[in-house]
Amino acid sequence: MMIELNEMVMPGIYTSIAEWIACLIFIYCSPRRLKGWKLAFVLLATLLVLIAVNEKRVHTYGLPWFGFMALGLAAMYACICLCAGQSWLEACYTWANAFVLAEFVASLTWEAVYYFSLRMQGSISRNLLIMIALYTICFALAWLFEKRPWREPKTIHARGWDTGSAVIIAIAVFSISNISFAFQDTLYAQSLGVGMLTVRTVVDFAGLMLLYAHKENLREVQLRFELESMNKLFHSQYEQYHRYRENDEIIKKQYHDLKHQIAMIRAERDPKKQEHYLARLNESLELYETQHKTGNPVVDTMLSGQSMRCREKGIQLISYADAAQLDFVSAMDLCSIFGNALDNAIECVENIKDPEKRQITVYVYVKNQFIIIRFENFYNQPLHFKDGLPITTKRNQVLHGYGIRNIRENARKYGGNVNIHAEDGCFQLLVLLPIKQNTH
Amino acid sequence: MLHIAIVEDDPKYQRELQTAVERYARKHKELIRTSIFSDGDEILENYTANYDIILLDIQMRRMDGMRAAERIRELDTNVILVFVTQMVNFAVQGYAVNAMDFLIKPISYPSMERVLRKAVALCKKHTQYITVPTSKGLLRLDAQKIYYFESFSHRIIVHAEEGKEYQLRETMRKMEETFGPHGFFRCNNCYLVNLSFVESVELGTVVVAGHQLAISRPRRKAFMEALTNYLGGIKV
Repeated sequence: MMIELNEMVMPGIYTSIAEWIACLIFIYCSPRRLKGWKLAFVLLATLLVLIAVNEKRVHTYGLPWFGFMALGLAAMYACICLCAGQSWLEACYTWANAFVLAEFVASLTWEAVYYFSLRMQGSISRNLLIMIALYTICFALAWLFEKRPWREPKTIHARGWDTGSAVIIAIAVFSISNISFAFQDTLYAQSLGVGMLTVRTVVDFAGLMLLYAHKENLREVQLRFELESMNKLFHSQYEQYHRYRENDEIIKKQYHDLKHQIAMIRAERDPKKQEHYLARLNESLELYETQHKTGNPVVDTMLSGQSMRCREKGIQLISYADAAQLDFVSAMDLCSIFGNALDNAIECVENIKDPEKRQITVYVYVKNQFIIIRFENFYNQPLHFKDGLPITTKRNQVLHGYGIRNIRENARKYGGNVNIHAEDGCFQLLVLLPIKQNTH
Repeated sequence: MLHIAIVEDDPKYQRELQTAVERYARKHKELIRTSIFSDGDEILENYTANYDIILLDIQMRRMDGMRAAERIRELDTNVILVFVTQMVNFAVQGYAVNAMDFLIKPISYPSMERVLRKAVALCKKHTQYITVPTSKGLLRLDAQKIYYFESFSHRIIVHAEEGKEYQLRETMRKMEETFGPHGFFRCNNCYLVNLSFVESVELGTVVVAGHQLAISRPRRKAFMEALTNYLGGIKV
């Protein structure tokens, strides 16, 4: 029996709606660029374009068929690019995912409609019922999978290579599954008959799984990379601490030498030489002025070390700190908190021209049974926040921004919390730690 | 109107401090009166607790700032103390006399502004009262004497100092609106907690002046943030 191929061609509306919903899901699950009526407008326009293009496409074959297909795909890409806050490369990656998802859902649904309704001359309402049911189930599953709240990291950054492979997968899947529909007179199409629908669904499903696996892999690689970067920074602060401690020893030695110098000046008769010695004495004293005494040796070393760094940059680092009760925090964690917070503050203050505003203040005090560490500095550039943390002003966003996240991790380890405020040109980083009695 | 005392023995710094305060008053349209003393013992002579803020030099000839601060605290627990010093690392004793902050000589206006902004905000924080019924009649209760509010079948139970309890016909929403700006925060649907009595926060409980209260999972994060801001001295 010859099967009329035309009967098996999916109406354009199935593809259009599936493509549109797939776009919606991926836009919903990513940060958005457009909001409110602008978003609604772009989405509505995309839907209309998709319906129009796909309606035209199903009545053609060969080259024009591909032309209309490409137009529809371009509309999807434009929609994602406009609505989701992603770079064009990332949008391309998202687009490949959305496209294969839409292909699969539309193909599965159409197959079901064909088998359970069309073949038996079913009514339009039955077609519609099958379509609504399957679309709801499939897209709900896809949405849940995409939106899983526990997955880390929340956003993944697809690079050129990742996007390239995703697009190749999408194109491969599409060409294998649709070749017989595009060229309906080929032998391939004739020999498969109704089985063509199943072949298409299965191929689309395989493509979808391939893309999901690819994405999960990407997420894993990114997570590992982030953990490694944070760890590296964490350790570098500790190494810095050891360097500062060596410096500290030198300063302490110099302090003892001062007494000898004073004796020398007393003995010196030549006023010129005496003046010279006095000037040198003053220099040594200034070095000692950068010393901080807070009651915790690690905090002292970190503050004094960073003080010297600040001095070279013409920044004043001042402290009003009672850190005697901070012993329950390990030296490594203290280095990470103070090192990262001060690095962050220095970076911020460095850009300020007004010398009176090149100033960082550190407060440490006890309130109730909590210790509060507060870093305050002026800032002059607008800051943008994401998840309560400022987005790094450094160029490479993938690499930086781990400093404050490190502090947050440290605070959480002790059951504490980190907040950030930027108001009236004053930046404040607050660390709250519940005081625990030292057990070791 | 705010009253600021400047205690400083060096006329040069006296002027610097006064100019900075005046500049702040002009810029922020605050009415500020300044009184100037040139030593710690001068302000303590016939001390009347009518200052809002005292700017206190640490190194002075007759009575140094730290000793003056201790004496002032004996007479006045509310005044805001700000030390003025030459050192970049301010002595830990500052916290013992509950000094809010400190300024470094030479006085720079941006730092003065940063410190005064906090001090003025603290001065303007007025106390909130609540009227509660008792067996002897109505009682006006200071919010800072309340540990927490509990909602219990369309009633509010006020848990206050010394284990006292009062009952009110109010809604939790109303209580939250009134006391939210005064350092109270919901840890759960039925508790509104005074953050200044929070002793610890565990996974499922918060301890408020010795009372263990349940903290609900969805509110935990916001509660920790409110607590951090409150104890960290940022107005909530």
